[in-house]
Amino acid sequence: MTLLDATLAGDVDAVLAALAELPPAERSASAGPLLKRYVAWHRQVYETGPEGGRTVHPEGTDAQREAVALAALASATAEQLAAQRGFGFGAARRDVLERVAPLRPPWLGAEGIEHLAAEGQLPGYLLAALLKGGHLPWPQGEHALGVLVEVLGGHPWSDRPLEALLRESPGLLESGLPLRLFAFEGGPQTSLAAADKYRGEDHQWAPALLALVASGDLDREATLDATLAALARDHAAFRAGWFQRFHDALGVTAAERAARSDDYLRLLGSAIPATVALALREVEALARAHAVEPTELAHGLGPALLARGKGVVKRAARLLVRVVDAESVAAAPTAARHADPHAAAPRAAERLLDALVHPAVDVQAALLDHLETLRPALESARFPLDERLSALAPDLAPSLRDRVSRDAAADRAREASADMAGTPSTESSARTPPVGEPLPVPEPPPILAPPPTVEDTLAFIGEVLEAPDEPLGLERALDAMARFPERVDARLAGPLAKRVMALGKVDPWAHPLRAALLPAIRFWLDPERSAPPPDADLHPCDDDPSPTASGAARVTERSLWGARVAAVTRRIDQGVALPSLATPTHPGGFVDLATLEARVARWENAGRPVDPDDAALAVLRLPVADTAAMAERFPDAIADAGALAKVRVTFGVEVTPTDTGHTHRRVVIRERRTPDSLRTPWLRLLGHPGVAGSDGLDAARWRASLTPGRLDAVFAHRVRELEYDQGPAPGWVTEPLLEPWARPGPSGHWLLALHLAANGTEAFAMAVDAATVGLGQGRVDPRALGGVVAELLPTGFLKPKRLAKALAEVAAASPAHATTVRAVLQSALRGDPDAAPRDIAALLSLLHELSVAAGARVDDPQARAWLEAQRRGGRTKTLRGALLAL
Amino acid sequence: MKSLDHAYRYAAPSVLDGPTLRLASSGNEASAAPFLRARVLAPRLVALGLRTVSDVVRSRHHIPAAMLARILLEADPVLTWGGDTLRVEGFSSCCGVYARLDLDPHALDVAEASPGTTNVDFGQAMRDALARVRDGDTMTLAVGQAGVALTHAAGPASESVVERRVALPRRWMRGFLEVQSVLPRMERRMVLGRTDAVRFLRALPRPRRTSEAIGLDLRGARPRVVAAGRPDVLRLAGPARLRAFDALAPMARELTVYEDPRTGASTWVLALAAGRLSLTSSPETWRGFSGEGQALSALATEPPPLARAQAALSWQSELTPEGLAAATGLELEDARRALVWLGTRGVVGYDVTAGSWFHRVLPFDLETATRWIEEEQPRLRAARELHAAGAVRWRVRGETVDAEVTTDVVHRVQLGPDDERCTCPWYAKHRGERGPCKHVLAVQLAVPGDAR
Repeated sequence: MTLLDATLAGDVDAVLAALAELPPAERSASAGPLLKRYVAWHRQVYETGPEGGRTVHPEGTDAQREAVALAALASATAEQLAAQRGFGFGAARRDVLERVAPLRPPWLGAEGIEHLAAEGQLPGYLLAALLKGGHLPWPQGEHALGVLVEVLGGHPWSDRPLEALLRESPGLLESGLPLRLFAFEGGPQTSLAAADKYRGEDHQWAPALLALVASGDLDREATLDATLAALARDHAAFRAGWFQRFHDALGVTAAERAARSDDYLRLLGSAIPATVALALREVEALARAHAVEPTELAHGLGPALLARGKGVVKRAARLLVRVVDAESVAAAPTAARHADPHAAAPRAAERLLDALVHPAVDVQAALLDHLETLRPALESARFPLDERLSALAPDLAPSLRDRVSRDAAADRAREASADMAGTPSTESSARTPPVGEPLPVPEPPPILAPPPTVEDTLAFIGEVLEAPDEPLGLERALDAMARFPERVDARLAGPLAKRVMALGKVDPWAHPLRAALLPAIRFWLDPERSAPPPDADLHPCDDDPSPTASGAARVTERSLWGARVAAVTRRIDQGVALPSLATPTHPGGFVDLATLEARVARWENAGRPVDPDDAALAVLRLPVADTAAMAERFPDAIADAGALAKVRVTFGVEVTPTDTGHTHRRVVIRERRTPDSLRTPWLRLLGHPGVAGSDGLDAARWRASLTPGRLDAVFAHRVRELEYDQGPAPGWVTEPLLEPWARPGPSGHWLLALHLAANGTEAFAMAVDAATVGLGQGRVDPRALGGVVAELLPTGFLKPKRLAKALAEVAAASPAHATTVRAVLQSALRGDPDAAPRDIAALLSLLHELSVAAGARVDDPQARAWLEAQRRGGRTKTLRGALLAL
Repeated sequence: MKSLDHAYRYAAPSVLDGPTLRLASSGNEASAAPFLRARVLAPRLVALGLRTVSDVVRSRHHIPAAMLARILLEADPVLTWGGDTLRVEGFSSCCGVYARLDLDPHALDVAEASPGTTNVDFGQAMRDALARVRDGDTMTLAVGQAGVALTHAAGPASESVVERRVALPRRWMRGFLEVQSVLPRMERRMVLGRTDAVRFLRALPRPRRTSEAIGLDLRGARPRVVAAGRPDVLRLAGPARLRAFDALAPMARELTVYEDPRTGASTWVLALAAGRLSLTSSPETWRGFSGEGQALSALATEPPPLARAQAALSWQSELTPEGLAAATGLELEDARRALVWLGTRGVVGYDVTAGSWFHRVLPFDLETATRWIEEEQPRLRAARELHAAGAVRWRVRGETVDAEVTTDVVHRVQLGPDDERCTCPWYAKHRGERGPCKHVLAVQLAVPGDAR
């Protein structure tokens, strides 16, 4: 029986017999056809049964597939197997391998195995079976070793502890394999770090190797050298971490450390912060033992002084100064080789000056202290320390500039003028007045005119469909269609029709407002072949107009938008060429009063009554001052808007300790004054927390456009959601605060404070932007914002470090912003000083730096009282003293 | 996925052999392999720079659909010695980041050199060696195998050649070539001193999602992180892409930010004592430079006299349209277009800092790659088909061209002096940000240059 016939018969024994008889060249030649057959027999086929049921199964039988896999395994090269992605090595059962291996298939060798591993086609169980069966020598290649790290001691190998396995595996220790593992970084799953992370201690590499070192089975000196060499390779931080921990677990002796002083000094230049910290610790020990030459030490510390970590830079600087210290030099056994300490001082000073690039105030202060320590030696060496420091003054924290500049006031003036020169050119900062005096609100943006022709309408709709997160564009597109209800030229409409067709296949939940608009566009383009969108009821809960109406009558952005789309499409169907009253005329959703009156007149001239729901929305979108003009005509909408504007929600945080030791925080709505009923359907979205809106950007923006003049109702809606959802908030929540017409009330300030301390990048960036613009234009009240911060700080909802970072960004916008942020910070120093979080120092530090930069003192009596009562030690105490002393 | 089969042929792996950094050059017969022996005057800086380029080449900030990252990880950096500047450039496997280290003449004490371009091997051993280099070490750079390099063009005779065959996907190749079309449009937005640069880079947010974008307000004295998408704000998608600068930033003199106003791509140049390290990042992490189509307009117009331009190339490290025009007698506009064409053919690169081009020949099968660029661009191919089918009707109206491109539907196209418009969904979606649509290209093909 030929090999191919044997696979066809699904006879494994016959396959093996045929393989044994084939000369190697012929066996190799059959690999291609066998792999093709392998693919064919794994292809899924669909069959319809006699009763009509459909079944899916592979083309070949189980026996055929096993036979052909085995034949391919015995004849293919590593390249052929690797190219056959997803080749199942299921046939590589131990008993089968025992019979295939003697045939020496082309891939079964160190190179083939390495190739398969490099291509990600070497399953761990196969490598384990080959090694345990003695079919392979211990691998030496990087990729195969990676697979070995993963499987040795893991499930595919054995349940025996890894240490025992390493000892018992014949030839393994002699092959030098354990230390070869140190030479490769591995990948996300094939590294020593990854292997140890998910295993029990008995199966971890580190304890096993440490035990081998302890018993002398693994050479301690070589292991330590290999560990340091691995650390010098700057592997990714996670993988380097394994070597750092292993190094520490080895417990390096003084003699071993001294013998490797050069290695440790080199590691100070590592790009991995934790490795630098490790090296610095060892170098400190070397210095204490006078086991390193001062000149080399001073040279080696250079990179550590530029490290990111504050502790590392401070410790490195301390060590550097100690090196220069005459007593240290005299005590060193190698002092004879050391140069004049007065020559070392300028070199050390250069490095310390270089290190002032570190942004942290305390690091800069420590570096300046060290430079002062060196001053006598530097003066002897005629080093121009003062000039160099003066040149660096603008880069230092404001509170430190007095120390380095003889004319600090001049520096401040220079800095202020530089800041002013580079101030953003927005209105928010260019003409920022003192705190409390708002900037004039910018001129109203230009009117959003409807497209004048059908062709322009086609182009306009095409554009807004590609910006589905801009609901005002979608709403204007809806209105534009209503203005041209007549049949559109099919050839001109073709591109848009094709696009609408394509967008109809996109997930409707990704952009629900656009998805709801598509049927209307289809109907407008081709009413004969399309159905209008189904009618929707804007008043599903008229029997129960309370905002809490739920169930089938639930109100969401989607349901309201769908109803609006359906209402406009009805007009298109009737051929009524009239504008929608509520279509925005200005950004934000505002409708201009004159335009609204003109639209109403057009309806009246056409002899048609206006749609009351459309009119109600139009009234809500009027600037607040203009609503009175419509009071008689639309009393319900006016009354509802007034009721909503009075919504006041105050908030609190309740902290509940539980038996398990965890502490739960939750937001508590202390008081609600929600309107009992709202006749205007649009407002039911905002009326009550029981009405959940959508979380998409398009829906949120549309919601904000319903009452652009009363945005705090929108913020209140969002804040209420905190009662049951305190997860990371999306950035768009604070987006309406960017608008020049947004005047946040308590809810807006609450949201802003929370988002300024948000963990998410998007929320943080948006909040910084909103605060910068809002504080600059006087719309955000610094005292109100500070009050919210004071309320929230003891609860743990606000992280002072994050908040300080955000406020520092705001303060950097302009000197006036810095003044405003100072006001926020002073207003935040309220309540019980003992209840302040431990890291309140981050906020105090910012207040200190801003006050020093402005040459101002803490002038808020309540803030001063808070500081005086503050009893915390450490940095908080230092800053408290510094602030009160200003 | 079509790909270019490329073979790296190294006589030996790159190694740090005592004080000598031996960068093995690939003996690709299509390229002129350079030979260089020089002492490096700032060893740690150069080693970190080389490692950073290598990091970028190994990085991936997005996994494109249907692309096997495994293959791309094997693409090696390209090294060019152009007479007085050594350039090492690489492209990330996601096709979204282009990195180049330019070493100035004063960074090297050159003993022997001849110009050329080659791939250099940056294997694990090489990266390990670079990580160990410290200031005070003596380091000599030797590109090519000493005494053998000059004979590389004929292929090494040694049996011990390190050969690695890789399939460079079309998308990667196209991006590598097309990024040169984006660079000339870069406008300088901000220069940060050393302290501000370090502070900025260290304070960069680390979003949870790699694709997340931040906005950078560059109008003040220092950049401020704001919401992405705001007007007049530089949008930086995937700020983690700038983390490649982490190791070198404290040693930099300044950081300069450039932005392409059309696409939003940005170039970040770290000025070092020994030269410059630049990173160019695509507008989105998921948008590689290959799909930007920025060179399409140039390719859709009548080809400039490339042969004359190409004949004037001799490894110049500064090539300007004016200089090329003077040297070849070409019209200035032709010289400008010729440089764009040559950029997409891998024959010249663009240096944002100098504001000029430089000559180098990418060591790949440029003939195939160029064919992809010029003929197999889907939009360009479709435009040619439309043009050939007579689907374009046009008329000149003042400074603009009004046209209709008729298929089963009618697309209206308007070519203005500075921009173009079309009624198709592609234009509606991208508004020219990702190059012209096929209808605009078809009109550009149909309308003679002198008619506009």
